Amino acid sequence: MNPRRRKTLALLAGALAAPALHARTPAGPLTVAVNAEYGLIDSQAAQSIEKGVAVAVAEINARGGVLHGRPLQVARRDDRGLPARAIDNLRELAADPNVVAVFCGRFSPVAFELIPVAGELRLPLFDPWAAADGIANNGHQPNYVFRLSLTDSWAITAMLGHARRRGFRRLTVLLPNNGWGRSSFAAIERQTRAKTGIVVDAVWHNWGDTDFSGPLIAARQTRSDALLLIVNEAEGKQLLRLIGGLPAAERLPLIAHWGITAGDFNRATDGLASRLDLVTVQTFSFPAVPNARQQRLIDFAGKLLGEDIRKLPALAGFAHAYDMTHLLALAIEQAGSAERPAIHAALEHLGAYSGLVREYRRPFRPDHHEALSPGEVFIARYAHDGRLVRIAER
Amino acid sequence: MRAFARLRRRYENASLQRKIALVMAIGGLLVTATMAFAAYLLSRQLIVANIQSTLGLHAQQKEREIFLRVDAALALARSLADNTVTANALADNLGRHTYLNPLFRAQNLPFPGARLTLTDYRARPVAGNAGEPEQLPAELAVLVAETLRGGAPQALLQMPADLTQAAIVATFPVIYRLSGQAEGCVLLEIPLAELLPEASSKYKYAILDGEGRPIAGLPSHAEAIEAEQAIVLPGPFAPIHLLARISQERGLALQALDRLLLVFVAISGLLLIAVTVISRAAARFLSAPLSELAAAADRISRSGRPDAILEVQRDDEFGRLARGFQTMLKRLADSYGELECRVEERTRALQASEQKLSSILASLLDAVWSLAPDGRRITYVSPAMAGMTGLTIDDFGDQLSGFFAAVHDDDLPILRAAVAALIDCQQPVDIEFRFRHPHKGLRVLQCRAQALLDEAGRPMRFDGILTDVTLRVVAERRLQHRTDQLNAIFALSPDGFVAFGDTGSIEYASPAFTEMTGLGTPEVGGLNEEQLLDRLAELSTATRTSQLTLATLRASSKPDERQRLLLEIRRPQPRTLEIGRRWSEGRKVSKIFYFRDVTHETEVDRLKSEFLSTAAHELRTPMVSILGFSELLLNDTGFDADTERELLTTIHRQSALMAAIIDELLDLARIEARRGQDFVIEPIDLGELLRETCRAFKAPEDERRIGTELAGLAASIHGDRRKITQAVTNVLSNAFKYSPDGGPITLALAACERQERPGFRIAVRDCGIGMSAESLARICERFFRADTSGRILGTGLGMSIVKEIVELHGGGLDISSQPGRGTEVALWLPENAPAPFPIRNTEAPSP
Repeated sequence: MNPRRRKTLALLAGALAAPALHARTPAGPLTVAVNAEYGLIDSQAAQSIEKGVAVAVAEINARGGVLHGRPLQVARRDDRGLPARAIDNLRELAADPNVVAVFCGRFSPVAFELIPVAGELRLPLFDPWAAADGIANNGHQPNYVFRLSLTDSWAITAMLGHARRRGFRRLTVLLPNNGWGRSSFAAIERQTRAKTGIVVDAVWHNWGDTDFSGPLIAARQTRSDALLLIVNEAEGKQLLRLIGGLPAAERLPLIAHWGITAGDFNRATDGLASRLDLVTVQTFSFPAVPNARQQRLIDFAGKLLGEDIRKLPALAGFAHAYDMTHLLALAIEQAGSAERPAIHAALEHLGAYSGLVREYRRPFRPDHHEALSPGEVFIARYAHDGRLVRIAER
Repeated sequence: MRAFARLRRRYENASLQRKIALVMAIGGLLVTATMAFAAYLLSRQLIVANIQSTLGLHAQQKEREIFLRVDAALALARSLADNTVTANALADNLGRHTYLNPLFRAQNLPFPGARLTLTDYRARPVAGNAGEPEQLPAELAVLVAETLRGGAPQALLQMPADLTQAAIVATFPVIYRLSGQAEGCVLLEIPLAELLPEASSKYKYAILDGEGRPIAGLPSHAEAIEAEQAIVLPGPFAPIHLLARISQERGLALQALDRLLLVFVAISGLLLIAVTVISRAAARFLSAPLSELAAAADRISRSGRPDAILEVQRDDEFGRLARGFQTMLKRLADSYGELECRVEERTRALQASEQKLSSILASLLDAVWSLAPDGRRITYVSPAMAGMTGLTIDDFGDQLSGFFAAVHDDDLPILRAAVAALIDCQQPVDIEFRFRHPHKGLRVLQCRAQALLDEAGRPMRFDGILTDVTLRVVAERRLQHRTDQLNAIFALSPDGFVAFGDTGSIEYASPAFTEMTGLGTPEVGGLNEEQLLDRLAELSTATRTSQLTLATLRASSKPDERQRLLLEIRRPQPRTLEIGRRWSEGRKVSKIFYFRDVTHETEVDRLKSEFLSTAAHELRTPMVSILGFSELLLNDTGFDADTERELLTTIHRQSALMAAIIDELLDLARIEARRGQDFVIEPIDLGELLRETCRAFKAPEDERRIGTELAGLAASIHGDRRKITQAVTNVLSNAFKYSPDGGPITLALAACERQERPGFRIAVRDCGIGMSAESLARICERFFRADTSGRILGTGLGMSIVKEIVELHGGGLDISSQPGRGTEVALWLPENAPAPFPIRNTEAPSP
């Protein structure tokens, strides 16, 4: 969001909060922070997450804020995708008592590092994107991490299901040398052991690698039917260009985790994403004809942000963050306090809520901090205009 | 010193044989020692240079080794920083320990003690090659921060208090590909001690910082030969300036040479003994003939007769010396006799000369004296001194005090200064002074003296002559007095003259001549008469008078002295000069030309003639009328009574006019002749005077009244009441006469300063016919009439009289007029008339 837009948003939020302020003279605004990877090349996930938070905050403030009139406001911190920076940012944010929750970004290695820190600081940490399995249900007590997103297990299940449906028997998976890669690899191993019939060969890479000819050669040597991609957009872009340069007969189908969807991947690959045989996993997309509630949101956000949110890159980040912010507001109201432990307790005991992504009967429980379920996961492909389109699975 | 003197005495008293032997032995010792010392020094220098060269080469080799090893270490560190594993590890805190520490430990650094460390973006160590990395010191944390900020490798020389920990540190940024920015840093620390090779028994190595201070390695021996080599470091280390020093103990290096020196000293000692033995034998051989010569000389000195006979058996230098000795003795005897004769002869001549000099000094009128070199006492005075000064040699006293006591007090300081200059600076003296002679009274003496110097320029004595110049001085003073008198006369004489010498050329031109002609003695000096006349012709006008005068002077060598010769010259200002010429019988002056300025007389003559002519003409005009009408009446009696009366009226009017002219001429003449001395100066109230004048004034056939502007002004002056009244009346009369067509006439009085003098201005204004500028310029001329028609009667003398009166009062006249518009005549009179009244330079002719 550009500074001007954010300023408008703050003004709007302030104006809407004004009557409530007069009524009960509550304390100052409460802050919802986004501590994510803003400064990355080709990545728009952090920006989409912030937009989701901002739109939800604007809606909440329009209703009179929380706790009888305290408005919400959005703060942002850039961690550049680095755990060290993210931890430092989180500690800094925690020092402000008005900060009620912090959204992390898309990177699982960063989210992993934040888990113990969030528990130590007793600051609710919301994960609207990072998909490694052990992030939300991490075994820490108390567990201050709440996720409204995909998990690697669900993603791998969907990807392998897609492979099976297409009849692929042997796959080569490209994994990053970090927590995300290891989480995904564990999920693959679990599922391939359980569901025999598919053999997966793993090839590891480091973030920042630019040469992927090795995995392609390995895939050819093992006669793989398809490539599973656990990659981000930077590596995905290099890989697609490599494959795009091969003769059509030698191009393997690509089944990607949603790391590549954090930006405008089709444009970054000059349309290769839509031309090649590439599918990915998603949790949310607007239907061709939005329902009334979705339309209201589209209109409200359109006025607020000045753009059509259906065309946002990393739309899932927007939707997850939007729903999580509303859940946070509910939790604050339910706790009747801005104290973080009280909010944490309220989050674990929230009732039903009709969100954008799904209908939540009980979003979180003390022993289960995942708000979504495998049912929300679907396979999508890039349309020529860059939007992700859900594809019908048999 | 005493021991040296004793040795020297012993050497001087020793025999020649011993001396030669000693000199040769010492010479041999010196040569041997010098050679040995020089050889030792040279060898030592060569060895040191050789070792230094070797050390230099060794240092260069070690420096290259250091460069290559450091470069290899840098390459490893750089590759780690560029490795995607490293960047990946920054985002993989939990998993990186499994691959990152092994990766760092696997680096095979060329320095066993070197450390590699990976830090995050806040310089916090993440991994290292030496176990769990420690927190970085502040200095390195700053270096990491600079590396991350600049995104480029950095380096520093780390010098903690404990110099054994000194190290060079290089940092390489780890670029995080996802953001394209530096988010971590690889540090390479190489302890300086690691750079050095191990010390050997022969060499010691050390590393110095850029200022030459040792920071690693072993210190050199106290006495060591050293070589230093700048260490050029690769990559980011390049700006770090280090020196490698390699040293070898000097004693060890020069051990062989010192042994060689001992052997050489032993050989030199043997050589010296041999030289001593040989020199003694040689001395004995060389000095034998001289010993014989010395024995012969002894015999001559004992006998006192130069007749010793040497047995000359050799024909070498000693043989020739003996023969020469014999000849010399013979000639010595001859010369001695001749010398005695000459001394006797010179003594006699000297005595004669002394007698002659005494005689001359005794006969001299001038007194001769000599002063000792110290300048304190007189050593000699000639006999004339007593007569001239009345002082004997004893009377002069110490420092000439007796002589100075008789010198006139006014001249004493100058004399003392001159004598002091003679004694101190050897300046010659030539001075005259007054001296009180005990019997002859005050005399004038002239003293001339000079210093007699020796070869070194020091005074041996001071000689002088004293001369009595009293008579000469008296004569000079008389002559000067006479000359001054003549010069004053010539300078004051209004007549100029030039004097010709006996050679016929001009020797003197008087100041008056120069003033008249602008020609001074420098211009005309040396000219003969013809040339003088040429110069005068250049100055003169071309009038007939001048030409006639010059022609007369040229033509006649002795013209008629009664003839008046006038010359009119143009320069320096127009003058008329009367020239005369006189011949002299004197030997020094052959003739003179004298010149008298007669310009004024000539002008007066001219004005007189002009005035007489004008006055006669003015008087003749009425006289003709009178004569004509009176003749008419006498010759023709047939006129009726009216005609006759008319004719008589005309005659009367013309007679009255003539009488008026004569009256005014007389007035004017009287005023000019008396120069105001007959003026009765008294205090006058000008206002009152003017009011009276207006009342008394009556213009004939004119009824106009005079407008007065006399205001209540206190206008008191000193002046002649009658004359001022006359002047005002004349002006008023003119105002009436020259405004025949009427118009107001005003008389005004006002206080007015003129040339910073207080006074009063009496102005008479009319609106009459006025005057042209030309007429205005001539208004005060006698007989000038502004009216040329003849209708207005007047003598033409009125304004001349006004002008004279006003000017004799020290005042002035201002007249302004415009034709047809009228005239204003203003008389300015000072408050106080000057006394005596001013007298004009040019005399007016008497009427």
